[in-house]
Amino acid sequence: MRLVMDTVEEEFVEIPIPIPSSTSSSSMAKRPCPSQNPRMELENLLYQFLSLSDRPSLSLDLSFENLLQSMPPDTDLIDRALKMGSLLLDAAKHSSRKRASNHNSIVWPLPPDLTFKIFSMLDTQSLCYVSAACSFFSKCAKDPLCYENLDLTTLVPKVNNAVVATMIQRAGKALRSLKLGVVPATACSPGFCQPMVSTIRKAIVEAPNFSWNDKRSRQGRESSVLTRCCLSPLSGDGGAPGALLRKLHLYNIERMDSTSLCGALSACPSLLDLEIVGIHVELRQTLMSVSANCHLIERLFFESSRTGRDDSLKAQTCSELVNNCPNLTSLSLRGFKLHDCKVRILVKGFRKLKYVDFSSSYSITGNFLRNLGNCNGGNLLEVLILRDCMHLKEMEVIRFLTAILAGDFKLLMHLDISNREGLACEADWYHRCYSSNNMPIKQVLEARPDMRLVAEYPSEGSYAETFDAEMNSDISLQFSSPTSDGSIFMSTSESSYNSDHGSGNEEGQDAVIYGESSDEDNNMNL
Amino acid sequence: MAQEASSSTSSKTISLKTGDGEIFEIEASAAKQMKTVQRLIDDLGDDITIPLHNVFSKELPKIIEYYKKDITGEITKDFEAEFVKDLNDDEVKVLFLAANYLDANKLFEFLSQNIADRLESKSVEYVRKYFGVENDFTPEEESKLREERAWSFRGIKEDE
Repeated sequence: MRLVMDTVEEEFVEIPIPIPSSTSSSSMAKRPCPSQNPRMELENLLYQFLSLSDRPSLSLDLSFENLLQSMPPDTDLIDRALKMGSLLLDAAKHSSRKRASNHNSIVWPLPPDLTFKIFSMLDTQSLCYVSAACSFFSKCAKDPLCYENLDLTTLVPKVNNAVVATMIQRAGKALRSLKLGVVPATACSPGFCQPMVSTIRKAIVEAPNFSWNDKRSRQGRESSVLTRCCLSPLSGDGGAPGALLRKLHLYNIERMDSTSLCGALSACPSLLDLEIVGIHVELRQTLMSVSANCHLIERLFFESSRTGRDDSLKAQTCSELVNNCPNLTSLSLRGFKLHDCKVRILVKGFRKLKYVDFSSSYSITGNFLRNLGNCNGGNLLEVLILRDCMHLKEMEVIRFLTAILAGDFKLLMHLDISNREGLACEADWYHRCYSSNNMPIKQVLEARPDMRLVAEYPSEGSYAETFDAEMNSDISLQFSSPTSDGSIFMSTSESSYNSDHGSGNEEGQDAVIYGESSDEDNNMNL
Repeated sequence: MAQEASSSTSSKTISLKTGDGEIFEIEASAAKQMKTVQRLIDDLGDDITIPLHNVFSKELPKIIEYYKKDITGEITKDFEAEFVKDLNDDEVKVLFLAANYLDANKLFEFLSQNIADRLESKSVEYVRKYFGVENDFTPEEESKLREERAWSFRGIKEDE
């Protein structure tokens, strides 16, 4: 090898050393005279070589080729050139990065703790982009406080278990809120709203820029789909991430099942707000798990993935839930088969219950509302939503409205008894009552001007609402429009009652609202 | 020795001198909100012009304006929106750094949120340009980061 080195040196000496032109703007600065130090020798060689770049007619490839031809045929000159070229390239890039980092630290003088203060105010997606700006930001963005509220929901399946795991791990015990899954776009512009889609398939088809070919081509590579154990990181690290988790919202995670969900819930004893939409889990098992693990729970929102077919709820489950979770103030069970007797246990039993939503439920007739207004549970009710309950009887509704007129349910602010199929007639639920003429709606509104009453029914044979102007309560056309984060805002008297995801059966029809819409914060933007 | 500014004399003003030599007056109660200034007052007395080497005449008036509103308790969402409306991204950044230097907590928090809002849904290049930082990642680190954010599907706003 030494031999070859000498050869190269000799060759090098023969090439005239260029004197950097002083008029060239890219010329290199002059260096002090080389000394005999071997390290300096290498640096000088490097300097000489790099000075070549000033040469106006540099033909490095030609010189290299000539050199190669003058060497014995078994020479490894090409390998050397490749190796040295690569080493030089790496060195230059490394130094360039170092200088960029230094530059960054001058330009951004804030220490990490102030930097990630800004980052902690960003949503999860924006955080990913910010952390890719430079290495300092990347470091700052790893602080647990930036991951306090994780929103990993997407329009189509894109998040996989690895992403979830990374984020949860970074949050550690700072994790307070986790939203995960597929939330279809509502594609609303102010003023009207298209029907919500709850199935992933339809959502995928309607999502922009997504093609089935994309999905197929990803099959070979790592899956972009969440599997059943996507929430297992909550239990990891001694259960630290789940321990202080307050909010868990899960949407349309196809592969999640009861066991994995219940496993996740067992890691979240501090849970206050649980929202589960379109997950293939059994209501009873889920409620049992909540009962067993989440005693502090304040809000439960379940929407079935198999509308009307989950019949699992048992009376005992309801009793246990009532006993173990006394803090519940908001209960939504949508799309399940619920029986009046069981529902009654729930509504009577939760002493702090204010918000109830049993939309799209099957089997309940409204019987559970009887004699509810003057006892423990029920008289605190502020919101009651019984939209599209197929077996809800007109007679029970009339009874309920009469009870309101009699002075019960003093705190009730919002009542929704709309049904796109009309209410069930007493004898046979196949027969529908389409008009609201039998119901004392006007009287209720007169007696309770502060209440908002929604009662949309199709006129017989059609689905359009036609309400005469002779109805002389305040009629204001209101539309559902999403809040700024894309969720459907249910108009209630308290803005905390937000539903992040509508029922698959709800259609955004024009709602004719009876009653005063005096609360500014309830108004939907037209 | 230097006495703390008496809070009963609410009409007392403090003189502040910026790094480029200009002098501004603020109420003593407003000065209390800027902990750096308050510390200097405690050390030097409230009759002396307080030097602020790292704050300049371009941004100090805006900061004073904010705290003038603050001591009357009039800071509303509208005021805050108006306050940042005409500021470009650079000006917000300079104010933010000044608020940090002055240890002016309320303004600092407010501007942090505003910067975060300006960064929402922006591309990586935009973020770099905004903060003036350069890409100092290795190719491997870059591709790893790209992978990590591959899931974020929402449209990223066009760079302004």
